[in-house]
Amino acid sequence: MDNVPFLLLAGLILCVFFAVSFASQKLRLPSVLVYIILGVGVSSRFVDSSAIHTVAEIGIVILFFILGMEFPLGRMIAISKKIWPSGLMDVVLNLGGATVLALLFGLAFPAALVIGSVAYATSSSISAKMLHEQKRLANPEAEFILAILIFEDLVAPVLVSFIAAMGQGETLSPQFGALLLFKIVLLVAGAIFLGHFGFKRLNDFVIRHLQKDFMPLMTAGVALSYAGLAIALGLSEILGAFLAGMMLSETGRSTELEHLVLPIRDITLPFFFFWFGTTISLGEGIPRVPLLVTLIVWAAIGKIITGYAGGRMYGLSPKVSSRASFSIIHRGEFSAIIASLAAPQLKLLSGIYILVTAFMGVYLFQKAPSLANWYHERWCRKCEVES
Amino acid sequence: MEIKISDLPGIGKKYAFDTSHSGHFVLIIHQQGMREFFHFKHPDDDEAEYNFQLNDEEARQIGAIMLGVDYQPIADDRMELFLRNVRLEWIKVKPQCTIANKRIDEARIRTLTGCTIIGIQREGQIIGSPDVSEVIRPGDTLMAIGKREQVKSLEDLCQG
Repeated sequence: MDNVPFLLLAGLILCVFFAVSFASQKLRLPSVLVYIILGVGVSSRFVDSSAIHTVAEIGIVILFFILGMEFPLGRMIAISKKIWPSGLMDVVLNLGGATVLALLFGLAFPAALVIGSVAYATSSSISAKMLHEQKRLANPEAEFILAILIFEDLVAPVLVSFIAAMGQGETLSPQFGALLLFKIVLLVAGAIFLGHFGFKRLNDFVIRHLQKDFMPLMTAGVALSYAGLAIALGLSEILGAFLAGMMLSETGRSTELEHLVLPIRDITLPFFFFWFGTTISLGEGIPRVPLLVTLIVWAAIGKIITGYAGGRMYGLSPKVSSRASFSIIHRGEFSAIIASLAAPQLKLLSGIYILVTAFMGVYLFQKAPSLANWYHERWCRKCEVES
Repeated sequence: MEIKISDLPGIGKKYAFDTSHSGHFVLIIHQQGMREFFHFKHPDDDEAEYNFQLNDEEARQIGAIMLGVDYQPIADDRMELFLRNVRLEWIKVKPQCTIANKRIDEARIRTLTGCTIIGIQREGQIIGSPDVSEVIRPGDTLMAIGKREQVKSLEDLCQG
């Protein structure tokens, strides 16, 4: 593969991405999964290319940058106020629960935490797509599900920073934890400062020059620099990118700015999932089957409890809550990001975990309305008997 | 009408409202510009009965039509004012009356009453906006428009 010109390779990969993405639309599968499967498929013949890895990294940075842009500080606080009990339960049950399970199966703490983090977040991209495709955006559970996803998006960058720092061979001592926390606070404070005193005043500038060719440069420039700064501090580029998005959202023009970088994301992000797929080689056999099976079962149980109890706390009816609970099981992009930082053995385990939960989640998402109806009928009958 | 607006982060904005006749609607405007309508029979329903989608351009065109850019029906209060002053009546022509078997211009209906005849119903057929040379026959029903008192005097004329 070394003597294939880079342009030819990149072009061919883009064409293949186009083809599988188009096919995934027709097959109603999340494209994230299709890219990963494609990567797994060619993993044995694929030589890890640093160029592809770099493109993949840019994709992830832009993904979280756009997420950050959606949430100016005020709005983020407003959403968090309403969702934090459910969000916290999500952390305890899914991040905590899976970590404890991994510990019980004899993994060391850092590895267990990686497993817990992989198990934590529901996939935002799959959820948004499914809600739309299944015509459930107008339903009351949609707002709840999206709010949970936002809470996860806030926790995720911080979590990745911890994992990334541990991956650099540091031990998890209290001093190290405190230093890490200090760095995170520093980065967040920097972003708030720059956003509030810098970008907030650029509103007019952005409106005036939105159509000019230098605006995408500014937007992507800010995203990559702040992400890079985070790496330089020993944190995760995801946190940096997310904060960069938050900073730019203070201009009040995030929708327009978002459109400038969307094409970059659409081109680069598939490389990440594909690259992640290539790092999973099935040739070595599936490791730790009992742990994997337990984790997958817990993946469903943890999220179902979170969705149901969280939905009830959010003010949804039992029926709507149960529908929400069956609609947040799929893991996806975020888990893949964590897994890509893990040791090879855990990577394989996580990869299989992501693929299985994603398929299971998509299936249950489609079945959620009928499952909720079934549950509702049973529940009501029980009520009638009791009364 | 009360419209409840909420954000759907990462997707767009949601507008929920109850209509007086047709139940509960939810409109979602996607970030990409697509408009999606969902209809619920009752506001408490937790699943939409049906939905439809419009792209950005379609939505704008339909929105403009609904605003009344092309055609504005007479507003309710103006219609009432109109009805209070102007009457549209169907008046039967008795055989013995003075205008029977006369042309409209000979009968001098406009001069005598001020009414305008906009139609004649004759043996199940309607002659729309009849010519002044049209002969009014006994048994015709005249469709006339005019002020209240004008219509009244035409009615008197047709009684004979």
